[in-house]
Amino acid sequence: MKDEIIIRTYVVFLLFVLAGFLILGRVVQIGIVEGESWRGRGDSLYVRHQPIEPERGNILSSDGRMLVTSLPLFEVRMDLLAVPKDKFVKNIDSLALCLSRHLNPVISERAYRDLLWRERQAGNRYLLIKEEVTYSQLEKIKTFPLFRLGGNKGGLIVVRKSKRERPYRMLAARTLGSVREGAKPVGLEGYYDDVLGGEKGSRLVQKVARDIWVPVDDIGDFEPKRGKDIITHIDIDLQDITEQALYKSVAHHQALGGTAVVMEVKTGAIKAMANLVRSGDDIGEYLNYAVGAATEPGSTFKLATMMALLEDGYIRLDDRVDIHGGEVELCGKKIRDSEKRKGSLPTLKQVFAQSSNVGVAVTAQKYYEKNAKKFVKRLEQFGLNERSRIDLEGEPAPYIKEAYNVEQKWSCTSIPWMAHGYELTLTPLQLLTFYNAVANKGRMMKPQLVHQILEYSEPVKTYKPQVLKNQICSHSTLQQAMELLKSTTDSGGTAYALRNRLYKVAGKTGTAVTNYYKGDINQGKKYQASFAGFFPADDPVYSCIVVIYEPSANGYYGASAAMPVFREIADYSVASRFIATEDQAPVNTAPLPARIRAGGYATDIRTLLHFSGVRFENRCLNEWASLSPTESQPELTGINLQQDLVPDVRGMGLRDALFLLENKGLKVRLQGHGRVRSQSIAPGSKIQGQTIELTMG
Amino acid sequence: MLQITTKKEWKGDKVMWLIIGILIGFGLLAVYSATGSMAYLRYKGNTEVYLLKQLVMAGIGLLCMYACHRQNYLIYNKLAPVLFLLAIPLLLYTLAFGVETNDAKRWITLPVINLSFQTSDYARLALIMYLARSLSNKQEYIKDFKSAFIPVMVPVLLICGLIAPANLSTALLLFATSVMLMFVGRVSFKYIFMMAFFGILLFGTVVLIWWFFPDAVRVDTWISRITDFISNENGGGYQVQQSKIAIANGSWLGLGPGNSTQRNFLPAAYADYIYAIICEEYGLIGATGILLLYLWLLFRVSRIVMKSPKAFGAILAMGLTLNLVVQAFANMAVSVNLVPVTGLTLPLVSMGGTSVLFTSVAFGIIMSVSKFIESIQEEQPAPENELMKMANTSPKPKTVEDESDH
Repeated sequence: MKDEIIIRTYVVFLLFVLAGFLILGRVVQIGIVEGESWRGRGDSLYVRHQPIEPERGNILSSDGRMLVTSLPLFEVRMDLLAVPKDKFVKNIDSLALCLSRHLNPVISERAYRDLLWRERQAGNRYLLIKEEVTYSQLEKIKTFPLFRLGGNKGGLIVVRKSKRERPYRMLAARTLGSVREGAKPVGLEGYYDDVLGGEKGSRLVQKVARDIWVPVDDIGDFEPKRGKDIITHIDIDLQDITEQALYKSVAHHQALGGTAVVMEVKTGAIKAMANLVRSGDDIGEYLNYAVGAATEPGSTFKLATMMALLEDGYIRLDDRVDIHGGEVELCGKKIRDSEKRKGSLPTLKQVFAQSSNVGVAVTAQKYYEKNAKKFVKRLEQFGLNERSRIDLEGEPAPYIKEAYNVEQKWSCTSIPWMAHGYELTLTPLQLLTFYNAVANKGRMMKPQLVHQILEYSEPVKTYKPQVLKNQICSHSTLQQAMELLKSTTDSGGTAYALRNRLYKVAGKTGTAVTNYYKGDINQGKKYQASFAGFFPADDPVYSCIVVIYEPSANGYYGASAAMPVFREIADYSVASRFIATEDQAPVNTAPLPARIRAGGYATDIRTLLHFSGVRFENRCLNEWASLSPTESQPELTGINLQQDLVPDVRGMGLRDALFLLENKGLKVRLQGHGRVRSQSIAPGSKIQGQTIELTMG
Repeated sequence: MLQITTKKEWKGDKVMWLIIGILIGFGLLAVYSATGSMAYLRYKGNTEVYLLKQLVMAGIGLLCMYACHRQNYLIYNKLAPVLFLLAIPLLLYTLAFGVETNDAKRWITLPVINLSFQTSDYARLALIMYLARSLSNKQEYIKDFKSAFIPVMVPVLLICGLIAPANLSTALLLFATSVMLMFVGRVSFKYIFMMAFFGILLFGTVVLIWWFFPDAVRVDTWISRITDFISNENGGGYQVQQSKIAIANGSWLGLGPGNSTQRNFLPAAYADYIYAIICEEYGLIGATGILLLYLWLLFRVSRIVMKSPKAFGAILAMGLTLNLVVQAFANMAVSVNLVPVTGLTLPLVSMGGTSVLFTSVAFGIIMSVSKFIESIQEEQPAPENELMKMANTSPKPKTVEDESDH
């Protein structure tokens, strides 16, 4: 008995010795006999890790609405050698027909057939079929002959790409910025590129021809990490009003362009930033004037001059000054007011309110001609020589000459001209930052566009309001500056048109000649109309600057071209604040769990419901689900995503709804904000490329 | 740890301990090298991460071996039926609710301790222990069909049948191991052939299930792997090609430790294809060395079989060793493209999570038997031939507990 066991054990052992010989034999065969050829193929089978682009994060408005998002897009290619010959011959005609009929009617069926044959002969394993294919198109393409066999047998290669999409189109487009392949992203996209960009993944790809790489199965993939989302301070409705008002003005005055920025006084938060540029008949968001355009500000700068004089104790607002009837020659050059003035000598307050260049220039010359250093130092004290440090790239430093610096062409004219806003440059945003400081009781805030960074909808970083200068000037100077800014809306003031019963504005107009130094002025002066100020004057909430560049029709003054834009913004802001305070009450009445209505990605909804402890009936087997109220507890049901039927997007957020609808080839129009309340085409209707209207709320 | 490395504590065949040590050491080297690119991508160049993980696993594994080999091996005889009965519901549960990876449900997670493992790893161990017990208990009438063959055959078919839907290769190997073990355990030839027939029948049943429930069984994966293997276009699929390039790079003497280039391109180089990396870095010499180590292990176990006074110890040690060696050979055969691609690791060498623990437990049990053999040798320092005679005539040695009355 024992013997038998031992003998049989040796038999088994021998079996393994034999197997060992087989294995080592193979090693010898592959490694030594065929070694040369395999080592040679090592190079031809070259593989590498190719980066996988992560999904870019979203940019959201202050109330969480989607300003920029990424929509999936695909590139369809074909590996012609993956298809066995018999199948290829059998299906090529019908495939060519489908390609011609559904993808590109310009190329005939015959041309497609020839192309496919030619490329197969050439051994093309990565033939481009179509770029920028949407999800619904892709679903269709997957049903084509051959392609329906999948990647391994049908040769279909789908490369996932994504496209940046701005649901609100032009709104704040330049501020939000853009991403282009091969170029550095601009705007917020650029400044927060690291945050939005995420982390690259990688995938093992194999070289099949020169510069052509094909993924090797799914092995060796590392998932990319999605970019984080950023919440901006931008208020969509205010931005919309700002953009529209600016557009009207640029169009009406046939201007070269314009900018308008609204800033929250206490925090420096940028609530709206619009930039319009005319190119031909088109007016669009192409350049960020607010941040990047340093120009001579003109009369809006007079505030700084007056504050310097006040701070130095040289003047009182009721001092009278001789304005020489509105025209004076200083240092051999003439300074003119916009209109000739007669009668009694005006006070300095009136000089400011009526924006007399002569008055300001003469006063400044009187006190600072021999004392220029003091003037420049005051400007520095007001923070006017420093950048605003907004979270956008491309902000130039202000240009303010050093006192008596000949290399900077300091001359006799410098003081009087600087006093009314020439011989120095500032960007609109820098000037606004200064005005905002005056509104904010002397505390200068850093303008800030981004409020928070979100990761998986959880805030991971919050940017707190940042103080640039704690106190730009004395309390009494501030009070008097306030008095000056309010005086412009008095009778006879340049901003009298802003006067209304509901709220008071503090601000200053500006009309600068931009080509006075370029020889012949008679060719036609070019202007820059502006208005800077804040409202309500007694308890400022927002500060705002509007600049219209080169208005050429219907008036070019700050009061006529820029001020109406300011007025619309202020009217809307004040009105919406009244409304906002009124309807705050019902917001707090929390809905019962059974009344929840929501839609979206099923897993997300389930996670949320579990997390918040809401009991629900789970009847969903699909990827997308909608949660609808019932009498007892909410019910989660799957959404029918059948090819050609309109899905039910009610209760979904904008992102989900857009994704589903646009992927199905529907055009989407929006109304209101919040979640989708109703959709204009009933769920389950046939899709025929209609436009669907979503009412949000 | 220092204390238990003394001779007193680590008992059993020293040569076998040495073989295990060399294999683990080789494994550490190869895994450290093979995980280079993965560590680079995942841990930003911190290549020691996987080495540390492997070291920790090896440490835990050694502890398991130590603990298991300290037990009297007869405990495993008592435990076998319980462990076996537990395997059936576990496998059923896995098929129904297991964690799905690559379309196959193979893993379950233990609740409280949050440890996931492949239930087939456990089932293999349990079946072989049960089989050893069954075969040894029935030695007197082992050639009988009804009372011996049927009760031995049914558990094998049952367990293999439960493993096959999600993990065909493991089921096939376990089946082969069981048949070999039955052969060693003196089951007659005609029943061995009958067993092969039953195996085919079982396989047919599984395919039939697939016909009606295509999601439950991975027949399509099997078909594609086998056709890939047979068609042999361009010398095989991607993995096979890369593996062959690795072997070719190694040639006679290898590129030297840590110099593999194919580790960057070979998927799962640290597990399924570790043998190819060993071939690349240590050449034919290293490849032969590793293979000989496993053969040597089997050889040392046949010495246990020879010396074991009772059939249970012999068959248990042989069965567990066969299980590991069969897996090792299968892994090597995949690497050199002798058989179609499967996801098997090289025991003790490959990087692996919980499967290392089961391997260690198996070795611990083998060493427990070995320890026992040594102890009777020490007490009765009889020459080998005499011992064999004694075993052949099979009088009950006084020093040995009676095994048959369980």
